[in-house]
Amino acid sequence: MDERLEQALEFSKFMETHNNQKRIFLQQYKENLVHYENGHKVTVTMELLSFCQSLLALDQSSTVLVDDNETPFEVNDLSLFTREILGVYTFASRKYMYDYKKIIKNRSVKGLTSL
Amino acid sequence: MNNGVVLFAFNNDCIDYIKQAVYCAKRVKKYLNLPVQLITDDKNYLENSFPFYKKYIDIVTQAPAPAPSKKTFYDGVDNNKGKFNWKNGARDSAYDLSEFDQTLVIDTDLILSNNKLLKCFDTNEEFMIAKHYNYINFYKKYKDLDRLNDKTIPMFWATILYFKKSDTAKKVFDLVQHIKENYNFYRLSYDITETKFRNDFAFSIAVHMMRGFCENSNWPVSLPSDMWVSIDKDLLVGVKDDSIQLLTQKDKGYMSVKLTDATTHVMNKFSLDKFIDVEFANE
Repeated sequence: MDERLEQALEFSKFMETHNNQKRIFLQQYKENLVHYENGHKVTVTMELLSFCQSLLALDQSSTVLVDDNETPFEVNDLSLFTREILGVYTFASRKYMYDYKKIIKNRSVKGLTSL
Repeated sequence: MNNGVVLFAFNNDCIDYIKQAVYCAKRVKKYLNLPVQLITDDKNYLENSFPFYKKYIDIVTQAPAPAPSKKTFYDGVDNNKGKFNWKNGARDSAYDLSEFDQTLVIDTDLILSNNKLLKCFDTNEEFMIAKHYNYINFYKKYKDLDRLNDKTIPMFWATILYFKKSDTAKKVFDLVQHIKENYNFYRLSYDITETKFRNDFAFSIAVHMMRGFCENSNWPVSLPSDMWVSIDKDLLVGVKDDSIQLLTQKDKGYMSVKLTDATTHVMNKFSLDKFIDVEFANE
């Protein structure tokens, strides 16, 4: 095979694996953003964080939210809840960054996926 | 109230499900630290072949194997191993046989690498079943993993089930039993072309019926866990702590994939079997 073609195909294989790994990390990031509060599933977003912070700034100590299954639930300790979801968001995004850094350092299929 | 994990294992001519169950129980202990109950038709084989099993399995329940059906097994892209007996119809007995108040039922080919499933036990839900999954290869789509067929209902995976001993859960399991007993009728009603009985299909039909014969319903709520799926044409290369390396089907070859911290369903039993042999060498 022409050496130029061989090298291009090798790179193509690497990119394919790289993209698949990146999508796995993105999916895991989305799943790590899920928080469970008294059996209610809540996906933590920057919007939810800002909303909770706004309520705390107005000296509110409780609120009602609607979970991912569109069921309302009461948050009785808003301060604790906000700290917890901030922790979930920070963990998920830091893990995503950590995983992503690992794949950008590797320039071979072996480096991307070996145990 | 006691919580635990139930595993089913009925060996056939080519696959050692009991071996898989011991390995699965080992990972349950590591990641969930819960008691494990194994339901099998061959307690003697377990005791003779895996004398160390008591480290991982707390309760063994002898139960008759379900009636077998024939299934084609693959070991990678080009390796059709042929048709073998498949004893897949016992899952409906989990409610009656489970020794726990709150039970997690998982397939023996599920490789746990995190403790997310523990959150099941903190919910108020009486019954949950896996619905959402991620296929390990984002370049490929398998429609038959999403729905029973193009025209009918969404697929739920009996690979991971959670239930609390309760009226609702009892109704689900009773209904699955009824569907199993009248499987041909339900198979034709739901346009299922496969003739063999599958737990996944029976639970999908039961869920569809119990949620009011509609698709748009929040019941049952999704499991608090991820589920990554590799099919029997993919290969398991190895597992090291919470990292798993697989080769996934890509055109006529494979693409390498690494999963870390992911609950992974490995449908290629042959490559899982080879890996467990290596893993058990030091037991």
